[in-house]
Amino acid sequence: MPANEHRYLVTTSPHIHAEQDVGVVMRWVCLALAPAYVWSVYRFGYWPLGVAAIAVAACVLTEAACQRLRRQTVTVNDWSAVVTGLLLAAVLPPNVAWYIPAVGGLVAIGVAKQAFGGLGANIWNPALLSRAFLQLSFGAQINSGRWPMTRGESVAQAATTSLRASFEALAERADVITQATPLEALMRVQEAGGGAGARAYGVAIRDGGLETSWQAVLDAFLGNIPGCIGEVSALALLAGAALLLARRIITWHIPVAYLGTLALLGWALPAPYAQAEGARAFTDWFTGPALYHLVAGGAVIGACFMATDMVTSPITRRGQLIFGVGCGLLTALIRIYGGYPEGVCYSILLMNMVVPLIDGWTRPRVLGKTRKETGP
Amino acid sequence: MALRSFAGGTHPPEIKEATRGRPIRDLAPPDQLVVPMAQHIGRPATCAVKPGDTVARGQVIGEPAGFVSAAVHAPVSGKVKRVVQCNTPLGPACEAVLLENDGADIWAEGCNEPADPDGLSAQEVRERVQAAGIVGLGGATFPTHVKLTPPEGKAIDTVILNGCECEPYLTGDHRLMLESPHTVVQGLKLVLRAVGCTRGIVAVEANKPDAFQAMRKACAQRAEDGLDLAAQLLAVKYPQGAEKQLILALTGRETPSGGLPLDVGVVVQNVGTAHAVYEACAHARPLTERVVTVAGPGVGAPANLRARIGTPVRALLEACDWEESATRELVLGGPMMGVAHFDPDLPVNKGLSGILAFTDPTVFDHRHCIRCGRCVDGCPQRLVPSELSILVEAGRFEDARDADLLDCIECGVCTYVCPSRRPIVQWMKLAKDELARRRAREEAANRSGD
Amino acid sequence: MFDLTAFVIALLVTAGIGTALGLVLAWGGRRFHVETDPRIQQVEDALPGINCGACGYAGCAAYAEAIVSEGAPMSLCAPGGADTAHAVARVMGAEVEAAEPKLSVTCCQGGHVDMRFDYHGVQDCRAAHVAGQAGGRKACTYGCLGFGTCARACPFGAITMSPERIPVVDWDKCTGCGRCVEVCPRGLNRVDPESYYVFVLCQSHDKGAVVNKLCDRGCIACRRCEKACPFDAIHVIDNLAVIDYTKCTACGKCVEACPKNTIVSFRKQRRARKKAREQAAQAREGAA
Repeated sequence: MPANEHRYLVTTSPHIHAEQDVGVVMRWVCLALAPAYVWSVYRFGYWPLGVAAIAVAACVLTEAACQRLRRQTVTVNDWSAVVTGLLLAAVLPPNVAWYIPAVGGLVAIGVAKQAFGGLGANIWNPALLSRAFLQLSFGAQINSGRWPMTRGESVAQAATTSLRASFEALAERADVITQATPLEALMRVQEAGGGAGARAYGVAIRDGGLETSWQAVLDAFLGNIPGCIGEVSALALLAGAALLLARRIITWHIPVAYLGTLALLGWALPAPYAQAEGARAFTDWFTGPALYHLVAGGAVIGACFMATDMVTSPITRRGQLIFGVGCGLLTALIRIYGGYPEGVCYSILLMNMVVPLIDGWTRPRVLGKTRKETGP
Repeated sequence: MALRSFAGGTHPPEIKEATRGRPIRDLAPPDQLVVPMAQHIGRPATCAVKPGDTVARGQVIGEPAGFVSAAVHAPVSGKVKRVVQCNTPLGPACEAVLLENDGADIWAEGCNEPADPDGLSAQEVRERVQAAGIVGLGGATFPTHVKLTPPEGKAIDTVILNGCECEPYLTGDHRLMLESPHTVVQGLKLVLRAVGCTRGIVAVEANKPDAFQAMRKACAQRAEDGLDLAAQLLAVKYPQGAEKQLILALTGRETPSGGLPLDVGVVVQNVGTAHAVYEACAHARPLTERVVTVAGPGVGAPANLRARIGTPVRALLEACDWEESATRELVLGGPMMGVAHFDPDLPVNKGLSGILAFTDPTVFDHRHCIRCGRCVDGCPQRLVPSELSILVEAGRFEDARDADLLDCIECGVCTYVCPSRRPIVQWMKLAKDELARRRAREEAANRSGD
Repeated sequence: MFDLTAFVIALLVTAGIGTALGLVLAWGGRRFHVETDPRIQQVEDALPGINCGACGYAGCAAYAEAIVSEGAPMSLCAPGGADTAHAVARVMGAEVEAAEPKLSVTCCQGGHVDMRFDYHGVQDCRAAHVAGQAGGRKACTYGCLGFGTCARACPFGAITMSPERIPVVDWDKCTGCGRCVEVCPRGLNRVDPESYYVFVLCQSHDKGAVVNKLCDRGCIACRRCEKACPFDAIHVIDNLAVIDYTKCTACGKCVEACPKNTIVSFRKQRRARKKAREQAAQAREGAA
């Protein structure tokens, strides 16, 4: 054997690789969330950026700490913790105190991700699991029912001078005009047949049907409504989603299945409501506010950014359609019949649990084998 | 004409511009050649010469060892210096004949003489092909005469010539179709005669429109009553040239798992093989040379070279301005399925379609699967590579077999697209190797136990 | 206000459901009961519960069943050793001869072999064996690849990798279960009874001249061992010395004769182990 001074590298085929690695994928997601965050600064001032920064820092530090403790390579440079932090902040109200995103980040990465084995091994979407945890543990701070709408001039000025001023402006109930979110309004109409908040969105029961105003739909689409930091502007979110579709980071299957089912059921299903004397009645079939359901609340961010999380969604395209339909179904049911105004968070978490089953159902048939011969 | 294809696959960058526009160059054989006895699937040939023997080009120097084997012929005229051991791309070292080239390039008696291919019967075609030592030149190196002898009861109704050349960098088949389309079509006709069918299709990917036109014209010009010859354009996708995917795209038939194309009435041959069949039947020329694409960042002047079997790879690289000190990885074949090797003095064998010199190959540390589904989208066999990679990584080989591991064709699409840089193909090979070892152990235990 | 009626109703309903279901379960338990020999569970409790498969059965439960129902030999448990064999025998009310302990040996010494190339890929011997065209990165294509797959596979932690990346077996922990034999892609590990003392620590079938260049401890097929052996117990077959243990008396003549120190005798260590074990057993019986 000739003594070869120059040693060559030997690896198994293939010897070329596609350019997109995990880091590239995650950074595109961060970029796709940028429009929503820009809008949030416009509406709520700088504090939402502070919330995002705290959430991201908490996520990244928790991941590094967990990996160190488990004596593994620290992989925060893949930006997956950053994405979790940005998504978590996006579903928090804009007037939360600093400790909410901090604890949220700790739970999202420490419990929902690292405790299961790290990236790729978790069952539930970490941002949503953390959100659910925060909702239950810090209900008063998150479900204040006082959602800021920065229409007042003094608030608008304060909101853009500094983080601190912005936070104080948002937290100060006296200066800030608050009102219910569009979905809360819907629920109140169902519960009590009306209310001040409902009138702001033109939501009312009329002739046995649930009606909303076109102005409300437009406002919700653009983002001129109260709500969580990243979820208010459907337009900004859809722009980000379009970017992800173009870059092939996500495919159309889950968003279309989710939003399509939600719109269909939101239109078709009769909603229960309380009449004047406390008697219960239902609106008519096929008269629901489909578009309102799509743009109000977290449907767009849920369908385009949360449900499409690769780790916690099915691996086959057909499976993703089933997953999307399931999420849409559960969201519609929780919103219309359930006790919460918003159902996106829990519906996705519930569907996350069924993903291995869906993967098994939708295993593709191997070329050259029958369906029976395929798989274990 | 709609572009047909199969579901799955991926689109690696083609990188064929450097070599597809220039004609094939003949490389003069060096002073010494090492001709391996194992260049094909099946038993290696047995050396038929001893040191000191004088040989002529085309003379048999290795006798086939059985039916599924192939003869090896001297690529040059000269003298046998020694019988040595040489490295092979896919296996352990094998026996080889070290030849000293006398420079005269004299053909052996009976070789390089014009013959009439149209007068040959099916059996005669097969015999000529077997005598010429022809094996699948696409890289699989399966002895061609075996493929041309379908067993009793298997009727063949279509012969497909694979002109897809779907791997990046490689353009040898492209140039062959452009420069001698008629020999390819005549080879196709000989193959049709040997297997006894009348329908022949030349499949060309849409990134070679000039080759497609050349083949289409040649098929029309060489048309014959009773024969259905056609060239078909296919979508540009990797691995369009893989046998099962080619058959699916052209005929819609699925080769059964564990089966062969002849189970669905099809025989597939590479265009280079068809050309070699014609050379053997019309000019009595056994297989002594082949076209190799030399390319990659480590080569200053990439080209397609027609080189003699037994030429050291080093000679081809040097003929293309090889930057030896800058080369970090040498790949034999294409970048998706080719084999990285450590010995630049390895001889050219019948299955070598390309030599790629890489100067800056990136190596990755892999991560956990993030279930993105790109491998599932891309797998041409419709497997779930993510699941298989996790099972093999955990040592669950039996479970991997149940999850259809053995249907993997190791095309590399899954590993190419994986964002977590998981070495999926390596795991597949590892698992298949381990399962084979377990089966061998079980059989040995059964034999000794009973 | 506390509604007593509702409370009582709820209590009765849930208690009622619980009782009804409990009765159903009790009936089901009796109706579908399967008779099993109680000794199976007792034998299973006596086994170590590692489920390594060295006995040849699919786990401790399967072996227990085989012992009681099929009369399988009671001393097949290598990890359990003599203690387990006696415990099982007590349950079955029978006598048992404890099987001789078996130990693992790796037939390669590393020997400063050159690397043919830089390998990057899965850090597993089976993967490395497949990459590099089944030749592996070491110039000796039969030798140990050094990635530690056997060390990881050993359920008892008996194998560690030396600084030269050759497996080292700790015989105090080795139970002869045979996992290391299964996982080595080169078949370098072997498990033999403790009474085998002499081993050829090489598996190369390369010609002697080739091995001589590659490795300073490899078998060069010089046949000096074959000539030195008075019992016709060692022969060079296909360029490698092979010991016939039916004839070998462990006299050590081949060890002396071998010019490359390829053949090694573990006589001293293994006899010391056996002695220590016998003394401990005597001490136990004396105390009992």
